This record gives sequence, C-alpha cells and structure tokens, in this order.
Amino acid sequence: MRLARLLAAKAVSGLVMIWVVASAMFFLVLDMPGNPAQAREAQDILHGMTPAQAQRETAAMFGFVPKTPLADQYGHYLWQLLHFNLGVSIAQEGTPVAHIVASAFPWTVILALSGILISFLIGVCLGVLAAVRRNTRLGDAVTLGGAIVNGIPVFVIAILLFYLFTTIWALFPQGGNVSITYTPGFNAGYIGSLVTHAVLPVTAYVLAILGAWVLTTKASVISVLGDDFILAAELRGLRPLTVARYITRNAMLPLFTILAIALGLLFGGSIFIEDVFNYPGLGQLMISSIATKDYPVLDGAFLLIIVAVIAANRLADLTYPLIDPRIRRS
Amino acid sequence: MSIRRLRSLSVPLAIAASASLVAACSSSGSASGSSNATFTTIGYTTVITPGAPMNPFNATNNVFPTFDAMQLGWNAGNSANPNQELPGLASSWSLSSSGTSLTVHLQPGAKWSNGKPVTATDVVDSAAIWFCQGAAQVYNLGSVTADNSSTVTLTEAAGAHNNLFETVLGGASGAATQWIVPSSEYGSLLPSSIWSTIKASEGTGSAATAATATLTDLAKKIDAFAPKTDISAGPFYIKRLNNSQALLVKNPDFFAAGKIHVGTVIMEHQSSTQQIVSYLDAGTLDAAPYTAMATNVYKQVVAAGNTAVRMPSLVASALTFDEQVAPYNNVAVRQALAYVINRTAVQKVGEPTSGAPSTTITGAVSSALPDYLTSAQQASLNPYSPDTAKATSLLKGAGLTLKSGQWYLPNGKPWTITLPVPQGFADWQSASSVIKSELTSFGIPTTVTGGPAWTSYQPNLFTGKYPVGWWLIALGPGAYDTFARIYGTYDGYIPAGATVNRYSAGNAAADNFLNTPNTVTVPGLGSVNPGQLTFQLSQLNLNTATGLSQQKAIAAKVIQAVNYEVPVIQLWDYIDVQFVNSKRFTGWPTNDAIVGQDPGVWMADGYVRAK
Repeated sequence: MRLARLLAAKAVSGLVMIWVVASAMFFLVLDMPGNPAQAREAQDILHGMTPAQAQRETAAMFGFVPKTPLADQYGHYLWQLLHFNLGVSIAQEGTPVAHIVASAFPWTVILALSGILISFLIGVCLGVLAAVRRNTRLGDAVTLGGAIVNGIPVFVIAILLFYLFTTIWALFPQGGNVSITYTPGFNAGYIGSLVTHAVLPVTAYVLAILGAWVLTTKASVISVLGDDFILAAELRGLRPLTVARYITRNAMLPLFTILAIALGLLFGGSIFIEDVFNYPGLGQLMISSIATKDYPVLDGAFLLIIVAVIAANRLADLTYPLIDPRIRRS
Repeated sequence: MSIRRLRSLSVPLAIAASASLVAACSSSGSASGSSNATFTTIGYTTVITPGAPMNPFNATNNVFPTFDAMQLGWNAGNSANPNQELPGLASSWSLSSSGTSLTVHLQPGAKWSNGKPVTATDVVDSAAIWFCQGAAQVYNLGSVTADNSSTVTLTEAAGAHNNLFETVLGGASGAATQWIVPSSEYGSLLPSSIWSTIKASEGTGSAATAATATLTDLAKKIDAFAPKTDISAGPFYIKRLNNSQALLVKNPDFFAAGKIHVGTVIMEHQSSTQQIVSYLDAGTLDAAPYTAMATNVYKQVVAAGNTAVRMPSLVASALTFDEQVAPYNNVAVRQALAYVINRTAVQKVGEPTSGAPSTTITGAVSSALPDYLTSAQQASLNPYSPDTAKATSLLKGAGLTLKSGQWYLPNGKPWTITLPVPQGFADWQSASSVIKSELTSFGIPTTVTGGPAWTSYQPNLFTGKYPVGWWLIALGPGAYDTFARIYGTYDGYIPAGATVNRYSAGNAAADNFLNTPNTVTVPGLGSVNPGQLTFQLSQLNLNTATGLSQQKAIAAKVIQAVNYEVPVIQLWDYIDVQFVNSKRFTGWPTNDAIVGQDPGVWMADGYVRAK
C-alpha cells in the first residue's frame, strides 16, 4: 500500500514536471523571432523576387500565419499533447511531428545508452582500480586522467575525435549513420557500416561522462573500504569475492543517482555530438528545426528528451529502494 | 593450443578483426576510368532532410536539381542577356513577336526513369502546379497549353508585360521553381477544373479571391505529397536515401544518357559550413558549391587537393543611408563617407576569399559594367579612391565642422554613427570593424552593434530604425532586378502595370527605407529620375537588339546617377568560389554559364569524366 502510494506520488510529480517544462518550452519557442515563412520569403527576395511575389509564393508554400490568440494556441497545444499529437511540421509540410521525432529518437537512444553502458563499465573498473591502488602511481594516474577527461567539454571531445580520426588519419567515416552504398537489411556490410559510423559518436559519449564515473566510483569505494563492516568481514575470514560483493553493493548506490543524471547530460550533449558527426538523431533534429524555425518539431524533440530524462530519473528513484534495503525499510 | 595462449592472442585477434571490419565497411571506392564511377558531392541547393518527401514542390524536399529534378531550362545568369536559358527538358523555344507567348519543344526521346516518355501533358500539369505554388504568377504566366505531344505554348497573362518572360523556362537565376514532374504521379492531385480555377484566379473580385484560395489549398495538398519512388527525367534518379546520404544512379532513359560518364552520385548531407570544410579537407567531395570560409581555411582546403573555381556572382554588399535623416540627406556627406571608407581594406577583412572590392559605386557588380557601359563611360566614373582630404573638404562644404578631431553636424551636435549588423553575417561583422576603425579615425565615432537575424533586421531597416545599415545590392542578372535593389520597392517605387507609383517612407505598400529624391542632377547628365529610369528597364523588349540597346542606354544613366549620388556605398562584389577535386575526375567545364549551374548540367553536357 505504501509502495503503491509512493509509486503514484512519483508518477504524478513526474507528470507535473513534464507539464511545467512543456509549457515553458511552448512560450520560450514562441518568443523566438522570425518564422520559416519569413525565412523563405527573405530567401526569395535575395534571389530577385519582389516582396509581393515572394510573399505570394511563401504563403502558397506554407499556407499559414499563426494569428490566433496566444491562449488559444496554448490550449490547443496542451489538448494535442494529451492525445499524444505533437502537431505537423511547418518545414516539412504535412508530415506529423511524431513521425519525424520517432525516426530520429532511436539513433540518439542507441548512441546514448551505448555510451552510458560502456563508460559505466570502463569508468567503474577504473574507479575501483584507482581506489584500491590509491597512493600509487597507477592510482594517481587513473585519477588524474579521469579528472582531465571530466573537465573537457563534450563538444571539444567530439571535435577532437572527428578531426583526428576522420580528417588527419581518415580511419572512420566523416559522418552519417550508415553508408548509402550498402543495401539496408540484416547483412554484414550494412551492420558493419552501422557499427563503423557509430564508433566515434559513441566514443564521444563515453569520454563525456567517463571521468565522472571514475572519480565518483573511486570516492565511493574509498568511503566503503573504510567502513567497519568491511573490516569485520575481512577479519571473519570471508572470501575476497564475498567482500568484494559487499563493497560493490554499497559503493554502487551513489552511481545510480549519477546514472539518471548522466542520461540527461548525454541527451543534452547529443546536440553537439550529432552535429559534429552528422548523426541523424534528436540533437541534429533540434538544430535543423531551430534553423528552419520549425516550432512543432523543436517542441516535439525537446519534449521527448525531457520525458525520457524525467522517466529515467523516476525509474532511478523507484529502483533505489530495491537495491538499498535501508531505503526500503524506511 | 592452450587456453592461456588463446587468451594472449585474443587482443591482437580482436584488433585484426576490427581493422578488417573497418576496411570492409569503408565507403566503396569508385571504379577509375570507367563510366560507372561514383561522384561524391553535396546538395548545392538541397540539404538532405530525414523524412522529407522526394517532391520538388515541398519547401523541404529531398530532390536534387539538375540530377533528378528538371526544369525546361536553366537560367544562364547572363547580365547582358538575362533571358538567356540553357536547354533542360526543352530542346528549343521561340518567343512570339509580341513577346507574350513562348512555344517550347521538348527534348526528343526524353523519358522518365520508369521508361515512359516525357510529354506535353507532363508540362501542362506541372505548370498547373506552378500556379498553385504562386511560382507561375511571378513570371506573369497566364496559361500553358499542349500543341501536340512534344510541344507546349506558354502564354503571358492578359495585360501583363514581363520582359523576362523567357525566364519562366528556368526560373530567375538562383530561384529554380519551375519543376517538371510526371503527370502519372502528380496529375491525380489536380482536379479536372484546375485550369478554369487558374483562369478565375487571374480575374478580379470575389470569384478571383475564391479561386486563389482554392489554389492555395491545392498547394498544401501538393506540398505534402510524398512519392514512394523517385521518377526522374534527369540524368540520375534516387535509388535510396538515408538520413545522411542519398544514392543516385544513372538514368538509362535520360535523353542524353550517352553523354553521362558517371554511374553513381553520392550526395552527402551537410548541416553547416564546417561540415563542408571537413569533407573538403578530407578530399571526400569531387565538387562542392560556394562555401564561405576564412583565408586560412581556404588555404587548408586548397592544400588538401581541391581546386577553386572562381566566377563572378551577381550580388554585392553595401552600406545604405536613410536620406530622410540628416546628415545623410546631403550628397556631399555621402560622397565624403565614400572617400573615407577604404573598400579594399574592408573587403580584405570582411570577405577575403569570396569577394573582390567593388571598382567603384554603381549599383551593379563590376563584372557586369561592360554590359552597360562603354570603356569611356567606365573611365569617367568616380572611383572614390580613399582620400580623407577630399572627404574633409566635402564635409566642410556641407556645413559640418571639425573640432579636436571630432566632426560636428551643422546643428552643433557631434556626429556619431551606429552600424547594426544582422546576426549570422560573419563577413559583415568583420567588415564593420574595419569601417568603424576608419570612420572613428577620421573623426566620426562609430559603434558597431549586433542586430537580429536577417528576417528581423530587414523590417527594422524598412521601418527606418537604422539610418545606416547593411544591404545586398546588384542582384542580377536582369538590369531591372539589379538596380531595383536601390531604386525599386526599397525606394518606394512599385510597378503598377505600365506605370510605376512612388510611395513615401512608412507607407505599407512599399518598403521605402532609402528615401532618395525623386529627381537628381548629375553632372554631365542633367536632371534624371533614377526610379523612373529603373522602372523603364522592366518595360523593354529584351528579345530584340533594340531592346537590349535601350537597356544599355538606360542602365548607363542609372549607373551614373548612383555613382554621383551615392545612395549606397558599394563595398565588395561577391565571387562565387566553388571547389572541384581532380583526384578522381577530370573534364570540368570552363564556360561560365555552365560552371554556374549545378553539376547535373555539367554532366548532361558531357563534362566530368572519371580518370
């Protein structure tokens, strides 16, 4: 019963957060100057049409000017959200936003989750190494490396990887998610091309949060190593593996908090990473929709990211009692 | 083999396997020296957009002009003869003596990539779509009828006069919109009464309004149409497309398939200049369109094996003045500023790779001047070479005073200038710093401010918020289009049939922000009305030698007026800098009219061969 109440409270608070953020986005995006019809009109004028001619063409092409009162637009927006209708793209007239966002979402999720998993595995291993071998040269080197990598902004990491491995050494493709020369399907060429194109973006994701895992794991493990129950376990003669299990279960707890935060950071970093690597995910979609003033697509992409991050945080909140019996009992 | 030994080999084996995978998954190379070669470029006017339809009428589409999207012709960008079109799906055409109808013959043997012939019906249905899009009305097109299966007649709207009517074949330079699409795909989107609706929309009253609304609704339906496959009458058709690349293969049914020496084209996606530069640095692209870049980046791109192909672009940058605001209402003041600002220094910083300092202030790009002026006339223009002494003399003659290195207006107030720069124009931003330095050193403290994006900057300019601002002029190739950037709608001159009306600043009918006087007195020319002269350029019959001669004479007067009056200070002419890479291909075109087109036209003319 208490668990059910807790679940319900978490769900409601999550929905409230989504509503607040969705509303804020709606008003912020509307505050942006210009609209795609104006951009198209300006382009036509630049190419020699008179303003009247350009206005006629852009009105025919886009067929709209958002002239309804703001309150009506907001009400309509919320009503559509409740029905999971994200609207229709302005720049790609007639195409549902959900369709556009849904086609981009998997590419971001695959990269981000791969990045989290790989960086988690490597970061935790290095963090444990740094903790166990602290005050040695190896431990210090790992700690320093983690701190340095943690301080480098994600866009710098992405640009460096791109420059080194696609331009200077040309070991990886320059962009995209797969080479067009391979026929899509479950064949070695296509799958291999997908993997090859994902290597650098995933590496960027990995490096973006690797430092955080290393440093946090190290601190957490050191803290647990100093606890009395670990000393007691060693004195009782428990097997090293069992002691290690005790250490791991307790040291992992703070990492779950970071896991949820990491997802948010990586989605935010996807804008830079996908732009640098020309990867067709939500990040690149947001950039292109900003350039074309495609409000519905921008809203839809932002909203999807925010929902994903909030959902991940809620999941982390709900998972915590499962892994920490102290939370469960309280 | 022991497990320990296997384990010790696991890492090297993994690395070897990965390397093999990487090698296997690299983009397939092109077969050199064969007509099956793969040509890699980026969309010159198309940015691959995930989910966008292969429909040229959609604002965000995934078709590639000259490759798989075709027009009847392609505008040659010739400022001497702006009606010059290069053949596309039309092999030849003739204009009636009245200049109001164009008889067009389709390319013999032209077929769609599904094997069906390109017929007059395709053109008629396509033209109906132009009307829905508003593109036909731009050219004053009235109707399109099929004379037979391979000939169509395009007729101007009743009462209209467009001396650039031939450009309906290929669009005005840089604004291609007259796509020819298969009737078998798009015809079902049009009601049987479409031409009656089009005719009604050309009338007046409520019937015309209703008809126009019907066409607008149809346009939305047509925009949203997403063909399942690409049916092309061009040299290539899209075989498949993903979010970052498009694969186009040779269309065996193209009417000039024998001239195409390229088997496959890969279009790379590009979302930024930096991305294009990265491709160029890596030598990935065989050809790339104009890409603005700094000098050091240009050198890097050239060092990577790319060759720059430079040709004049029909556009120039300029500073504008609102002549309703003192002291810019005084010609001596504007001339003085022209003597202070060193155009060479400004261009060197602002647009070092894709610009050339304007030889003088004329309203037209320097490369177009021989089309309008004789050598003697060109020599008689004032070059406005930097001369601060002359500027000082002019300003003093205009009643301004110089005290302690600061210029003061006749009303005693210090003269300062604020120069807003629209967001995203890095070249204007850089150039503004030089202009600021020159003017401030001369005694006119100048502040450069960051303005909004171009779409918001222009309304601010039009409503008089910026007495001094940035502008693009000389947008050719037509003489009227060129000078209308100064003496057209932006100076209040709006054509109304055979006459032109002048609207003052603030009138919503025009975007008058220049506010030049109706008539000006130009030494050696007398009193002229540049706005009326510019309008006259739109009324000439440019399909006759007489018309072209008249254009030259009128343009010469407008140029002399601009040169003396300095309604704008023309700073630099843009240069179109494209890149080609001869690592895999050769046989690049050298004729400016062909070079100025997208590579599909090059290939259709037999250029571009694999090495």
